[in-house]
Amino acid sequence: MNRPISTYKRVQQWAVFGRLWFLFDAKWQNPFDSAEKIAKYLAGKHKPIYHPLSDVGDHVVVINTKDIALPNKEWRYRMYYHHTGFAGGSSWTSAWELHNKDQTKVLWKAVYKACGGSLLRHNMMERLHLFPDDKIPQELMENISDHMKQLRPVPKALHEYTEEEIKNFPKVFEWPEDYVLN
Amino acid sequence: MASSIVSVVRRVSLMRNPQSLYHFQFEIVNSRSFKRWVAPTLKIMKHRRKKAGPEPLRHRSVWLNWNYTAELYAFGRRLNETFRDETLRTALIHPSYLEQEEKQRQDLGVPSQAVSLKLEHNSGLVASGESLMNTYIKQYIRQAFPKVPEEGICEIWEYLVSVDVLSHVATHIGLSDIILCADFPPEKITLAKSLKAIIGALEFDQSKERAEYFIQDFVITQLSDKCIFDLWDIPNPMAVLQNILEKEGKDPAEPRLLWQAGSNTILALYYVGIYSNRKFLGKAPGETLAIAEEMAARDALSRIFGLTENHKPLPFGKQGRQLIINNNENNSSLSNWMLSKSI
Amino acid sequence: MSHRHLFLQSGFIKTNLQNGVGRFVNQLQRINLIFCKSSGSSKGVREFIETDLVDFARANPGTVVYLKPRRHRGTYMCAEYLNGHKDYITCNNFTRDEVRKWLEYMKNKSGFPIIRLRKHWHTDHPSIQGIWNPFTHKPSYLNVTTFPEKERSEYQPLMPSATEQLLQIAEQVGFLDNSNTNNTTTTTRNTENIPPPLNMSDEK
Repeated sequence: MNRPISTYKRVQQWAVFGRLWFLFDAKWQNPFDSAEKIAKYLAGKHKPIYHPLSDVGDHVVVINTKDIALPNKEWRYRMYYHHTGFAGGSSWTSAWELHNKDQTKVLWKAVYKACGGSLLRHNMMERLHLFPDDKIPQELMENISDHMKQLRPVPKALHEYTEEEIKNFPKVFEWPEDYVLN
Repeated sequence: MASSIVSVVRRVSLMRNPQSLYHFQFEIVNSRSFKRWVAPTLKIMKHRRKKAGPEPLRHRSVWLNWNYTAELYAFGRRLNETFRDETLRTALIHPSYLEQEEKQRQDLGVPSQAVSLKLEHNSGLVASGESLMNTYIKQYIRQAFPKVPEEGICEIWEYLVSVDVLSHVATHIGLSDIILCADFPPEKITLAKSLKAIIGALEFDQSKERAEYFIQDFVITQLSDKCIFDLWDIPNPMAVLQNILEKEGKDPAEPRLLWQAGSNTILALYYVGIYSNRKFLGKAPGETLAIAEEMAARDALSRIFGLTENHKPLPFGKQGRQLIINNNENNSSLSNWMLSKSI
Repeated sequence: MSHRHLFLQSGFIKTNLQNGVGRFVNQLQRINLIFCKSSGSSKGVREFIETDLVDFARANPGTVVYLKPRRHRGTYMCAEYLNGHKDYITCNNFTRDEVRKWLEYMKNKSGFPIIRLRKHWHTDHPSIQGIWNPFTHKPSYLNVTTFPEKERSEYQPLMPSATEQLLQIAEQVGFLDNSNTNNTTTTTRNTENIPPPLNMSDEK
């Protein structure tokens, strides 16, 4: 039977241009560095078949955006400008204020900037799904096929170690008995 | 000075003789400028063409520059074959043409005994060519794909000897202008028959071997860009696979989901793998689980039969000439097919 | 500035009937030389016919050469190819050499119209290892993992951190074994994503 395209080639084409759903845990991550990586995945630049006009970008679902970690003094001093269009409608909002109002906005704006200025940007942003905690709708959870690797190690706080672990952790030296730890 | 007088006639600018430049000095026709008359003229011509309708199809022999003997000679030499003139002429004459000629003579009132047509039609050559083609193609495919069951061989053969393929080959060799038949433009079946007649003529004039090489070079090469496993339509590949495994005494085929993406979207992608007792048999992607499973079964079968995308290339050219067909038996049919036997 | 690219069509390389895979067949079926017997513009073609034409015809027995003398018309050659395509070249005021060379050009063509080639090669089997798909380098255990999965998401360091180095030294020296036999948490660490230990042989 002679078909215009063989059955094997048809499914192969479907597979090659398949759109994946990635999950990214933003806990303790720098949103600006993460945005670069997320924008790369949204554009499809991680794929060898990439072309800007081919629409090969993947979906990225980001969780725990409430736990993002901005470097240094960015929480206090990074300002987001907005103008309503009316007279006297300009406003400057710092990152911590914005985060209080909407916990996904900081990362959203960071990814928006990282996407560049092309007409493809809005298309890419449609494929970004941000959630402040780790509660995702079941439909999206079923779509996810892989994780995006984090860019920073998540530090383990002292209260996260069990008492036994603390007790048995190898010590380089021991404080003298009469030393006052304050 | 020279730049404004460069000719815009196609491909003449190469190898321009320097002396002839002076010849054009005063010809305005060859100036490179915007000609205001070109666009309106072309528009009018297009309108007239549309109004008059398309040019009617005419046989090439209608024009003055036609010499049938020369065309026949060139046809043979082009294909690097030598035909005897009588055989070639006979091979190109269809019964319908003879009937048409007889009818014309009757209409004109010419008695058939006085000027009889001393022409024979090509039915005999068609038959001999067809039988040679059928046997050789099957032998060649069996040699090239020893693991494929007989049903598969037949399907591939059926595609190669189909009217579509043979008529395509015949037109692109140059047969459509030189065959004599009642129908114009020549029907696909007529063209296919002409090709078979040519093969028969070749066998008659030269040797069976040369005819076989002709078939190899023109008919079997039509397989080279095709996905060969796809030519064989297996309605239920999973059942076929299970059957084969059962006969071997192996565990039944187990489809397993390997990867999936976007299961709740319309662009869902599933990758299914087929395993028999944890041994990998084949895998394939698909839009739905059912499609992926079927394609994976097909993939497993294609691997078993040696018809994958990266199969050994078919022997053509020098390799084709060195090919020795050493088996005349059919491959085992699907119901008797055993993996261990075919290796 | 050239605007030919705007009108010149683009496409991929094609052959007529897999020409060359089996035997090679010259695609030029017929060549018609239309010229005038008296006008000056046909002089080159007439000279060619008198001298080089027979050599050309002998060298290309598979091509039929037709001569069509037509009064008061321009001089041209029309080539007909096996795929049905026709090509014309105006030969007004050509020299004998030019006619010969353009005839050779027509003979060597494939019969397909001239287009911008998107690729200068063609293959029926472009991939040996198989064409990439998004799951080519992804492990199949992904399908049985429930997301979020810490191991798959974790940052993979290139160099071990100071804490990790300390723990590695402790293990090598045997510090951890001596400290506590009930201890199960530190010895069964997840070392999958952690780089291999640094060479501590001189320490010992």
